[in-house]
Amino acid sequence: MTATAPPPETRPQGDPSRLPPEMRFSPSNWLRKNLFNNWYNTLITVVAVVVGAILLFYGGRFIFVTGQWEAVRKNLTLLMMGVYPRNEQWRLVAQMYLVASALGLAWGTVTARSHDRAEETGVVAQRATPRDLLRRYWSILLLLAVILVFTRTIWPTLFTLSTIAVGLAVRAGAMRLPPSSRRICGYAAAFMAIVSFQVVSGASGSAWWWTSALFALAAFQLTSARDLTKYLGTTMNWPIFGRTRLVTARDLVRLKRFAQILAVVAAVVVVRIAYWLIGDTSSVSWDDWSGLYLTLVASGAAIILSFPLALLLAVGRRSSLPAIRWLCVSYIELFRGVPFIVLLFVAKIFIDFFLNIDTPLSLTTRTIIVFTIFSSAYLAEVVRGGLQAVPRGQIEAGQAVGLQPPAVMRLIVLPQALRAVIPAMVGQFISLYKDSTLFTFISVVEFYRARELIHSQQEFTTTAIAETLVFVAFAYWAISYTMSKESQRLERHLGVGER
Amino acid sequence: MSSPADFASTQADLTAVPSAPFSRRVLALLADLLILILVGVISVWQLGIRLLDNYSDIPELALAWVFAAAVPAAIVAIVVIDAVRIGQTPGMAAAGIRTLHDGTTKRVLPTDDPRVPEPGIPALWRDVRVLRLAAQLLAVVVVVALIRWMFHNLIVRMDEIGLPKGFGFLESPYGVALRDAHGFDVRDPVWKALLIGLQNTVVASVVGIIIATVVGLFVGIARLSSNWLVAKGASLYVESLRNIPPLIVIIFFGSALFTFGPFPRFNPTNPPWQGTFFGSDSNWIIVSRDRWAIPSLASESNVGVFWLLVLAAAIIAVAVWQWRTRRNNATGEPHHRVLWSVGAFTVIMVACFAALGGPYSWSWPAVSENGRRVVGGFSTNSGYMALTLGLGLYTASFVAEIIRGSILAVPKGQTEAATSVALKSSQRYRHVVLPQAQRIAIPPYISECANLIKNTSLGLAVAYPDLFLVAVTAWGINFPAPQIILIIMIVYLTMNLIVSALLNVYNRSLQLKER
Repeated sequence: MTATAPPPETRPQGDPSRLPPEMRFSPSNWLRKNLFNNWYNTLITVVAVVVGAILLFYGGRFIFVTGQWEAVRKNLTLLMMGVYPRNEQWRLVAQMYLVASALGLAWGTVTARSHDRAEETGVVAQRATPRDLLRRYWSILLLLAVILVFTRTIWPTLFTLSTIAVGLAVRAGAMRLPPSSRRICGYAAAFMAIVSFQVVSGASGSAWWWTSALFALAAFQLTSARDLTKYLGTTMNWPIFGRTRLVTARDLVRLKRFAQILAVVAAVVVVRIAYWLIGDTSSVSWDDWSGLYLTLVASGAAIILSFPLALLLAVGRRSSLPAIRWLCVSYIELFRGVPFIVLLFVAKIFIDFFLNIDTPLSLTTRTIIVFTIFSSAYLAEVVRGGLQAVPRGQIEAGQAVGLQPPAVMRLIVLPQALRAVIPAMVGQFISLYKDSTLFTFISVVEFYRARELIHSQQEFTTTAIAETLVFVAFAYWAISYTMSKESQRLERHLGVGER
Repeated sequence: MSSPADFASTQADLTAVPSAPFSRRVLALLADLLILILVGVISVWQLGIRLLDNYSDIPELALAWVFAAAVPAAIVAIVVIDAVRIGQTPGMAAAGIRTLHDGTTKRVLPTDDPRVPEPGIPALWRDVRVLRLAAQLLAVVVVVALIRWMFHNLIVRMDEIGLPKGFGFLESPYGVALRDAHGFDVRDPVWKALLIGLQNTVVASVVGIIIATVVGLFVGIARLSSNWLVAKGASLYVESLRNIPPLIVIIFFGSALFTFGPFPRFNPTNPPWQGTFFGSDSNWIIVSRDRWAIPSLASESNVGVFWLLVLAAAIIAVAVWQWRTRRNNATGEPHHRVLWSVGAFTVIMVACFAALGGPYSWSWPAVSENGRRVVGGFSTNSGYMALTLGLGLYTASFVAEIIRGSILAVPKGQTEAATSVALKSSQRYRHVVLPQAQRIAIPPYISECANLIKNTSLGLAVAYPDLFLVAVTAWGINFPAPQIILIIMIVYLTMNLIVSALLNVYNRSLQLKER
């Protein structure tokens, strides 16, 4: 008995020899409890250890000793960016930096906002430690490491590391910006992403016009934000008013006009200069996108494009108008009932037959169209599940405060429904990402097709089949696994099924 | 802001307005006539346009007429229905006369207060029924027009290219041999090839589902094992396989394991590996790079009679099941239904088999004399093996998750309640946990099966002649792709609808049980 013994009334009474034995954690206890607790478990453990050891031995020998990884090493560029023109690779690097900045900006803004919210509600925001991040993203970091191990020059490593550094630096910067500028950060991130795709797909013909128009519109929107004008008007003493005096409401209006004109002109000029920098790029088009790059871009495009369509379909399927309901049901059931590969062949052979156009669409475009149509049907079912999960009382409460049906949908039903199905949607995204392997059948050079191209080279016709397959499978696995882990984390985080 | 009292007084003023005067009624009648004339003129004009348009055939013209007449007909229908049922017409609404719910008509003074609802039946363009109908009509018209436009373009383009329209090509010879299709000749028609493809799809689906179910069941239960190593091994299986595209899993079995794998080739100098029983000549398995074989049943005689007797035995088994159930209900003695009915079935089967002199006999696989083929038994190609194994093991990872999830989803209180009435671990599982877990597991399981059926179209990657590969080959040799795609879409849709119908039937029976 020590001095820190618990008070008598909480201690079990009686003969000490009849008390249950004290369970303490020790390796031998753990082993006995988890591996050798009875005879058949012992048997299973022994068998499992033997089988595991054999698999580990052969696996390790394959990876480190016998594997002919030369096939991957020599064709890493083919796997990553496929048949993209080799002398235009700087575009991809430029896009990497732009996308990293955009992601950093968005991530920093979102984190800063959630920290602010946490502070408002008095919750201490938990900062993710490097160890947490490692645990969350280990598979994708491992993939990155494996890819970099296969590179033959130092440049890809430098570019990757500097991209990560740029992203983190932008994130750190974005977190220090004042709250009023967050909306601008969102716009800026979106436009950086769009610009990056302009850089990669190359700009030709009318692209410059619509990009300028888009930018001018965005600049106009940005400068119309009330927060911004207020921020500009109240924090600075603008010499354009002639003399320093108190800023009045009229000044703000004038300032806003001025800012709007300036922003539109600046947007057009910037786009022009950017296009001048990008140069005449008839040498690249988005049909050149291939390899892992195309897989990621096509899946991302299908996810983003199919989301609004899926939302409409899901709402339409629950509509009280029978005709609209049946149209939505037939769309969903038609595209869910047919294998994706069939739709891909429709895209390849005769999607142009349906549209009365002179110049045929490019294969990449057709593939992305069909991918979007297909994924919207599946996503619509996921969203519908969320809509069904919103209690009727919520809708009735919305009606009771006099909201119109669209407003009830937008303000009350959809936020709850979408929150409930975020994990399921991530699951859908994973399966989309996996389905993109099927592009290989219609000769779109995505990641898996790039692997097949390796084996059409004379050197590797019958060798290194398993090596390239393992590499490709690992790349698919690492990205899907990260997504699925993140969705499980989100599920816990959002408390789905617990409230 | 006015108080509720104000609101009430406004309403009182409104209802105090006297009944509609004669002049207003005349005005309403004129407005109604105007509306009807307008609708009539527009519809006649529209129908005339349709008639003057040069439509190629009668059904097309009829469709155009239906759409031209639909909107006016709907307007007229609603006007007539309103007039007959309530005595309210759009003209009356325009003239400011409203029929109230008690059937009287009142002249309504316009009001600016948006909180004052208009009494009585609303005007036509504000009537929810009209708006709903209009929205639906618009949607249908737009969709039908779009589909018609696309179909028209398709036909025009098919004419340009010179593709045959219609389904006459189904009778022409297919022209390509199908792998492992016994009894299929190159000169056989296309429809027969498609039928064999469908049969192969069904076979691959069924075997794939069996593999997925058995492996998934084992792995799912193993993930819940108290043995740490087994649980971790099972989660390794699940987490690795379900995050890899099925195509890669199939290719792994197809090329990395079978085509370039460790198995012997199949040619005279390089005979396949043959597994024989101790001291006998019969192979129980033949393994090679592209051909595997196992023993099968070969029919001898009286097969038809035997299957009739099997049917009779099944009926008897069901009767025995019901008898045991009644017995158990009446006397309370243990029913042992499964034992009794399966026992009865087995006894009858064995007796019939012996009495008919063995309608089936074992057919043992053997390598043919030239050393290039397998004779006897059930032999299959590596494409089939790769497809069924790959898809089965891939889907097993999802099935395992479903099983684990459904067992975990049974409330903990159920297990505790079972323990508190002193049930053994096995009884607890059999009578409490599994029946409830099964209800949760079956719907996602069925949708996984549907996914597997759709994924059999990946047979394309390993040259397994499933429906899709047969179709791809067909349009590869210039049979018209649009019709073939239409056929296979319908077939896949039908299979999918059958599966979802099963799911719906199951869900309905589940709901009945719960109430």
